[in-house]
Amino acid sequence: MQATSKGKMENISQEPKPQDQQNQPSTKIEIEAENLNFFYSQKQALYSINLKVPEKSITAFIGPSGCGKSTFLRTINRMNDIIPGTRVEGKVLLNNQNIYAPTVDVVDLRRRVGMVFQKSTPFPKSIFDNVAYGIKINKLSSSRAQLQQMVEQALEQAALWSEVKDRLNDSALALSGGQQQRLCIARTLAVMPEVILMDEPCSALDPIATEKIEELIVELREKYTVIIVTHNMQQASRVSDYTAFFLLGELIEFDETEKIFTYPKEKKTEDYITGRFG
Amino acid sequence: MRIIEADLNKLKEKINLMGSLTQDAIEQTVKALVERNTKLSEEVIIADDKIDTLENEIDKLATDVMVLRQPAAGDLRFTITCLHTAGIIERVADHAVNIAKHIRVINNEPPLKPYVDLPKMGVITREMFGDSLQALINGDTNLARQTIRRDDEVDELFHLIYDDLLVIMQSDPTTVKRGSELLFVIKHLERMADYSTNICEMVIYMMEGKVIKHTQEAF
Repeated sequence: MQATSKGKMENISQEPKPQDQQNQPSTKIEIEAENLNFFYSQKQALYSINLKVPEKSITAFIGPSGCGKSTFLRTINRMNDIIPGTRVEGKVLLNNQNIYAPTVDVVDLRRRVGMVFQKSTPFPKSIFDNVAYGIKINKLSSSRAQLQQMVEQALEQAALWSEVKDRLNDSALALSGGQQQRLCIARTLAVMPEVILMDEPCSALDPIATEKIEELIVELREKYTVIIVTHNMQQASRVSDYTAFFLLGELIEFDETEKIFTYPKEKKTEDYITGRFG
Repeated sequence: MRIIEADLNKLKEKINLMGSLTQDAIEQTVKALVERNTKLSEEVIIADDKIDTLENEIDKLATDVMVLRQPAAGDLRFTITCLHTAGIIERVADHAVNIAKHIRVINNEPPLKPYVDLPKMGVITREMFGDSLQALINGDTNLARQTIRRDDEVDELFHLIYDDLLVIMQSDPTTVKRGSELLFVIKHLERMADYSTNICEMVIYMMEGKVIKHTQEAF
């Protein structure tokens, strides 16, 4: 399985053929997993994952519950480190640097590789403070004016500015579900990440809010590398350039999204996306 | 059973029925031509309504499957193939009807000459269509590729008969009316064979995800 996947990944790094020809992802590899194994105590959750994600592209991770897609996502910014008893073997490279090397500053890594969760998690603070929080603790601004400018920019990028610019001091908890999720995206963008990981970011949202987030994800590709875990296969096919299918902790197939959804190479992928699985 | 399965089975049944009716139309029209049976050719014209209705039903069902079931991978390729193929089969049936209409005129005049190559062309065209339909229903890419290659046989016969007819018409102007009608007939047969190759191209897309239309492999 790994050998075939590796072959495909090499193809991708040479000749990416994205859905949107006008906004092509780069051929440069931003994230690379090398023989990655992951364990929750004795239980192995990921088996020898090899994957190369090009920069400024959108990659969707799909697969049934418990297949390891979220676990793998969390290895990319070491979010699993906070779970006791977990263990990693192999490498995850971010721009050719192993993020599991002992010298890596995990706080800085999580700034560079931001994360948006399934459930929006605004702080019980004002809209402004939610976005300003990361900028302040990372000491990214040198003046109040610069801070304001960075907050505005992040909210603009998250397509939320026009909706909240007149009520920046209101509680973030008063925003709608979709707005709260975009606020969380703004909070992630504010600290100038390189990669954005999204773990089912729309699963709690209605179709209109979902569409806004999806439009936003596509826009973010211009500046960021985005990886999204989703159970919604239509969402994966709508927004992503590449799709990775996971099953029982293994990467079964990784290819251009268009290929995965029209002519997957692996029978297991075909069975899953056509609902024959199980 | 998956919810989509019932719809896909229904699509397959309808395509199979539409194809079988069209195959009957080709067979009857060739027979009507060779045996100078005008009554049989009229039956082909009447039977075409059912084929048209089936095309509309397949179009609607395939569209419903796309919108309501959101097929992917093999299911998607099968649905797209049905949608395209229904249109192709309908045009094949229309060509059979057109031949039937020419037969009305041809049979009002004495035979031009004993038919030798024309029945041969009719048989190969009918076989090609039948094989393309079999390939579609069984997902048989070997049969599809073999059928594509047979198109050359039909093209060869077309040119042979075309040249024969020109010679006859040039030598005896009273044969021009019958000769021209037969020129139309062989053109219709030649187009039917082309459409059979188009169906085979769709079979290869359906089974292998490869688009060979307008590529070297299609010739």
